[in-house]
Amino acid sequence: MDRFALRTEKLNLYYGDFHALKDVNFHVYSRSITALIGPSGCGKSTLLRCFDRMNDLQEEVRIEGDIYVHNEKLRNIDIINLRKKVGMVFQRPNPFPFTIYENMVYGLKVHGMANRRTMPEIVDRCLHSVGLLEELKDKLHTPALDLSEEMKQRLCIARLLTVEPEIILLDEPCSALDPIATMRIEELMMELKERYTILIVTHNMQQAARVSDYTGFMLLGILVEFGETSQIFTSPRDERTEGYITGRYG
Amino acid sequence: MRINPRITNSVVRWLLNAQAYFTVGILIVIIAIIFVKGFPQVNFAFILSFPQDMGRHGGIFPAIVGTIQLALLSILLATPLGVGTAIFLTEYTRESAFTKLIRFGVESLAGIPSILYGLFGFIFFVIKLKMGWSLLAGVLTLTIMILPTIIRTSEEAIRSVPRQLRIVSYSLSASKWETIKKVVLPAAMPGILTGIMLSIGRAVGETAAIIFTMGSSLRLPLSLMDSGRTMAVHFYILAREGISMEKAYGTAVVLVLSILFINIIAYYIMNKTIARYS
Repeated sequence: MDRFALRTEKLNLYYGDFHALKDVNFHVYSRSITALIGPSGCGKSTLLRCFDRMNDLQEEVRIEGDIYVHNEKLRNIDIINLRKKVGMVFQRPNPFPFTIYENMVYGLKVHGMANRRTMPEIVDRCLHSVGLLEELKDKLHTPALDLSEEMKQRLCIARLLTVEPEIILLDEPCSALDPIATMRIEELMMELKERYTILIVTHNMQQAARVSDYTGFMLLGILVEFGETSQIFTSPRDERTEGYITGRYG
Repeated sequence: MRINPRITNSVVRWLLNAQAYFTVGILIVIIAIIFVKGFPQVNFAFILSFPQDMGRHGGIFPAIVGTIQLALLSILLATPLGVGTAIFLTEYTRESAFTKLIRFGVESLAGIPSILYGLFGFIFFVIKLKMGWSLLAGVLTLTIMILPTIIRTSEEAIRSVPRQLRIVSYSLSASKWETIKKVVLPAAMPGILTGIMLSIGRAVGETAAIIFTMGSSLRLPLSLMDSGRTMAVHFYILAREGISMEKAYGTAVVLVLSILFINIIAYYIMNKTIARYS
């Protein structure tokens, strides 16, 4: 297994004239949780979205520098394969307005990865991974939008797992959830890191401290500091990091 | 002098109430008149037998068949065209002078009185393309007429599908077309169906555009090139030419019941949409 699941070299990104990412050299270790923290607008979500090319959906985005996914240059990877390998969980839970089962098999159908007979088994396995199987196994054919926010977010993670990604990007996945639901999702992340590489963007520093192995601190498009989470939170090397962590700004 | 807000409040509430009851009241009165005058005419024989003596006696079977043929065929033509246009406008173009022009064209089409569609259909399909008074000419004219409704309602329905759902679909590595086919259209389907239902209602109730293009033959239209008449046209001719007011009202009852039925289905689907997204 590669040491780095994701890596950038001198990554620069512009939205039109706005220089959103500046010379970012960043890496994500395989099978670990890496957190990106920083104040709003610092570029952490932009950086996250580079890895599954979600920025492509926006107009006038220009990217310079190199991005690697498992040592393969991102621009050499076909976008369909890339997004299969690198999955994304969004800020707001966003199940499709279909039944739970239809949500779960969406990715499988798109990829032609399973047939009618193997699908139920995959659905069960992935729901089990996110701890939803017990509660939902009799409700698979009810609307997904009837679930609580936390369960919707779990469902979205389960839906992602069906296509067997290697890397999971989470874009502030708990910001729409209450503290108890947040705690449960965090526990889920800890379990998932056994099998997946996780990169999470969060504006909640405590969350980064609780779940992540590595933390990157960003400010105004610059990756100010990157290191083991314990080091970042106890003895930051850069005074800007220290300022943010101790709450002097942010 | 300042009027006590409590009084204004109750006056306004009373007025608004009255307006609502007025609307429903008119509907009830119209339906009541039609039913009182026409219902005695309606029975199985009336529905299933052919008219005799220009419609003075007998039933309205060919008109019912003609109505169904016309509505069904024009919906079958207009739906793919209209939904396709809506998909193009919402998913494949950015707002530009070109889309504005298309949208302006669609809105203008929607505002044209139906008799002008009839006239156009007559000049173009019946005369120029030598179709004669025929089901085909009627269908084509009606298709053009209901197209704007289908485009507008489909566009609204597609636009109301949250952008987030498309992004998720892409993130699950679906292509654009797969996203449209498997997420956007299913999510927009109730809204699209509502538009189709409303168009059927319009097609069923139309007269002016039909008389000029499909003609008013009392025979059962058996091919696309046959002339025929719809219930609305049948009603119009019976009443206009004083052939039989009783039969006219009988036809009206069947017509009103079909439109009511279509509207009920449209409402049912609309409510389902709302239930699904809220």
